[in-house]
Formats: sequence, structure tokens, C-alpha cells
Amino acid sequence: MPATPMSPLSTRRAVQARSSKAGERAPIAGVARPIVAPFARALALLAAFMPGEKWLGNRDLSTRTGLPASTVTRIAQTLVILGYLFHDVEGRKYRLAPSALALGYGATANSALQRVAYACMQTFAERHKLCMNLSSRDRLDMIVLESYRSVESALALNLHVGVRLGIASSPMGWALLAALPELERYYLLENVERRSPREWPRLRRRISEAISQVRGAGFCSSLGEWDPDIGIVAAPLVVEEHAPLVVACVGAGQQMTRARVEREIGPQMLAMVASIQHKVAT
Amino acid sequence: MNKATDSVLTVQRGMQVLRAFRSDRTPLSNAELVRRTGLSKATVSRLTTTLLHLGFLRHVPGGREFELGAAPVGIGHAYLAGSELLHIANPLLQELADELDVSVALSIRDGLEMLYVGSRASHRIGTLRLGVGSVLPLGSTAIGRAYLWGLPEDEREMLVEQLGRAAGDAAPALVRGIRQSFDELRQTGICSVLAGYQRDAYGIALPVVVGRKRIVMSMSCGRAQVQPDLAAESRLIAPVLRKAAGRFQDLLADFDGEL
Repeated sequence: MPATPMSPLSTRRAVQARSSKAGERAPIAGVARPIVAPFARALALLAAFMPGEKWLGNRDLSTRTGLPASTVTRIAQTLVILGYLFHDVEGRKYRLAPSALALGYGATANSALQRVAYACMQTFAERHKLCMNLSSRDRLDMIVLESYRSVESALALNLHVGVRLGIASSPMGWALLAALPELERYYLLENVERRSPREWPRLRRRISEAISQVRGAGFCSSLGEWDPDIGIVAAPLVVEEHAPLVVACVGAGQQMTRARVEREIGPQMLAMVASIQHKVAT
Repeated sequence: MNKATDSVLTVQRGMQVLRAFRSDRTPLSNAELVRRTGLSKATVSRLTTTLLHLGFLRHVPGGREFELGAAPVGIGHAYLAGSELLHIANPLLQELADELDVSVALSIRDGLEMLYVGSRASHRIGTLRLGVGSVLPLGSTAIGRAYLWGLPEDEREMLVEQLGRAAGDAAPALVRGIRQSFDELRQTGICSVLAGYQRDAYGIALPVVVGRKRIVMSMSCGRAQVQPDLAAESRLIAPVLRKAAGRFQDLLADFDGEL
């Protein structure tokens, strides 16, 4: 089983906060400039919280961010003072405070494009009894922005909002890579190669296969590849003046047979993407 | 300055830059961020580099401007998923929105601004402009003024004074408006403000005080409408809003957590 694309890859982003190596600058940003370490650490600490785990102790935060415990304590105190974290003194643990919502959640979560996409995904999911999600790139991850699950979906896998998937190891990532300008794609893949040199030959083969599938059919799929019981179909959603997004549907193995994906689910998903583009443009 | 206060200042400045993006999705340049935050050009540039590096901002394709990246969504969602109070509040807000055919919000104070922590729109409203995470002015909106009214008097007066100081030349008009809304709240328990934030939109709000920790929030209804008849809308909305707020406070009477 390859690096599992299904786990929330919480640690990777956080570890980055520790270093400011020249090679880890923002994609295509040009010159490498130093980052502001205490601020980067504070953001990494906030980002270490995942849905479903309300309280995190010093040690959890230290493991996830790769920061020493003493640094975690100092930065967490700073965030408590500024109102972004609550501190349970007796339990020696922290949780996010409502001010964490004021750091940009509103703008992203309430975008018109996302709302239109969500409504279309909802209809699609109910018609096919599947789970749908919308994701966007965050460095070398895809992050789920919207997620809808049909009440009739039998799937145990829950890709809820905020879950991260590797850009090189998930159909969502492949669909995005296929939609990017060449230069940006090369840049990202170089970073993937540097980060996972051992898996790179296999990843590279799989990625180029998926990109050709997107070029030919408009979507890419991964059926029973990680888990024999799970099939995923992903397609890029590109709208002018927006960062590229990916729409994906996830279903149980018996729903997602190759024939059905190629003849029914894939083409209908493309029709849905076209209708989202149309609705946003008018 | 010691190390701890130094770190607080640095992080605060960084957050200031991130928060300058507000909820309107407009891409901003370093120069515009300098203008909005009052920080030096060098500082802003280092902070935006950091934000880019961590995925909180990204470059607008082909430009020198930045827009919000995907990272803030994860943090916001992690907070929302963990808030028991909001799990209880949301169905109630939806019910209220559907009954009155308006959008409904639950907000708290965040510095000198109000932050939507809950927001639901009637199923018949297609274009909700302001959702969870939206940040609105404290002094000029119904939600802000209702919130102030829910506070103990000394705390309230301290904030009104701060708002006046921050408003500069506009202070007398702002404070007059706030006092007017306080009169309305004293008499009716509710205040209504037209165009406190957006033209042609009104807000009708009242304070709620929640749980054993006595968390002060405001609950509001609003709708964007061309030339609305505010008095008529308020007559229609006030009794239903009052009842919902009462039910909300009862429901959470024994709630012992934080928001």
C-alpha cells in the first residue's frame, strides 16, 4: 500500500514551520526571503487542530508541529493572550477559540463559487448515493473545502472538511496537477520528489498515467487501488479568477465499477462541472 | 522588552496582516496591506512571505497581489466542529431563518469588531452574503450595539469610549447612533439598524447571555432589500426573535463550557 492518501496529513505542514530553508519557499515566488519564525510557529500551532479533537495537550502539539515542548508552551501562551486559544490550566491542554474563525475562514468558506459547487454536489451525491467533495491545493496537499455525503451512502470513509490528501498520491491531487500550467506542475513535482525520493519513481508513473486520463476523458479515477472497497473519481474545476479546484466523488467498490465510472459517473460529473462553470459565469 | 512580549507583538502583527483580508475576498498587494495595517513595508513583506510559505495566502495568478489560501478553512472548521454550543445553536438558527424568511446570525465580539460564529439563511434565500467567520463593525451595526447592551454597564461604557476614540472625526455621529440604539434596547429589548454595514440591508438584533459562564452574544435577523420599511419589518420580526432568544437561553441554561 502506498503512502496512504486517506489520512489527514497533519504533521507535514506543521513540520515545515520549523525551518525556513531556501528551497521551501512558496511556489514560483521567486526570491527566497526569510520567514518570521514566531508567527510561522503560531500559525502551525493553530493548524495542528483537527476537527473531532477539541483539546490538545502540549505533547500532541509538539509532535504535530515538530517544535520543542518549551517553544510550544511559549507560543501557545502567546495565542492565549491574543485570544486565539483557550487554555485549560488544570488539564494542561488547549483548544481553538472563536477568534480563530476571523483569520480568513469567512472569505473562503462563503465564496459564491463554493456555494454553487456545494449545491450541485449535493444533488449529484443523492442521485448516485455517493460522497462528494471539493478540494483545493495547499502547498503539497489537497485540502477538502466542502464535503457532502448522501444519506444512502454506505461508505465508512469520511473525507470531511479540512482533511488533507497528498497531491502526488490522491486522485484529487492528480486532477489538480493536470489542470495546472506546466511550470507550476513541474515546480510542485520537484518538491514532491525531494520530499519522497524513494517513492518518487512509482508516484511519477502513477501521476503521468492519471494526467493522461484527465487529458483524454476529463477525469481520473482510482478504483480499488488503496482499499479494494473504495473507488474515487476526480475532475478539475477551473473557473476564471479562481484558484483551480477539484471535484471528486467517493463510492463503495461495487458502485464504482470501471464500466459504470467510464460510462455514467465520470461523464455525468463532467456535466456537473460544466454546469457549475456556467452558473458562476452568469 | 523581554522575549515573551516580543513574541506576542510579532504574532499580533502577523495576525493583523492576515485579518486585513477580511471577508470580501479582494486580492491585496503589499502596499495596500501597509495602508490597512499601518505597519512598515519591510515588516509587511516579511509577514506576507511567511503567510505564503504556510499556505494562508497565495499569489493571484499573474499578479503581485495576494489572496487567502486554503489553510484558514481547516482551522475554522476544526473550531466549528469542536463547539458544542454551536451544535446546539445551529438547528435553532435555521428554524428561525425559515420561519421569518431572513438570514439569522449569532455573533460575539472580537476586538472592536463583531464576528459571526453562527449563521443560517432561510432555504428560500439564495444569495447569502455573510456567513460564519464574517467580521462586521462593532459600533455601527445592530449586532454590535445589541452585544454592547448585553454587557455590564462599566464594560459597555469602556468599549463605547474606545469606539469613539477609534472613529476619529466620525466619533460624535457614531456615538449618537449607539446611544439611540441603546434607548431602543432599553424600551423594547431589541434594536434595528439600517445600512449599518451594507447599503439596503438592515439588521435587527438583541443580546443573549448564555450558559453558566454568562457568555454575551447577539442574535440577529437581517435581509437585503431595496428601501426596506424598517419599522414594519421590525414589528414582524421582533416578537419571533425575542421568543427564539428566550428559548436559546433556556436550552443552554446549564451549559458550562466556553463558546
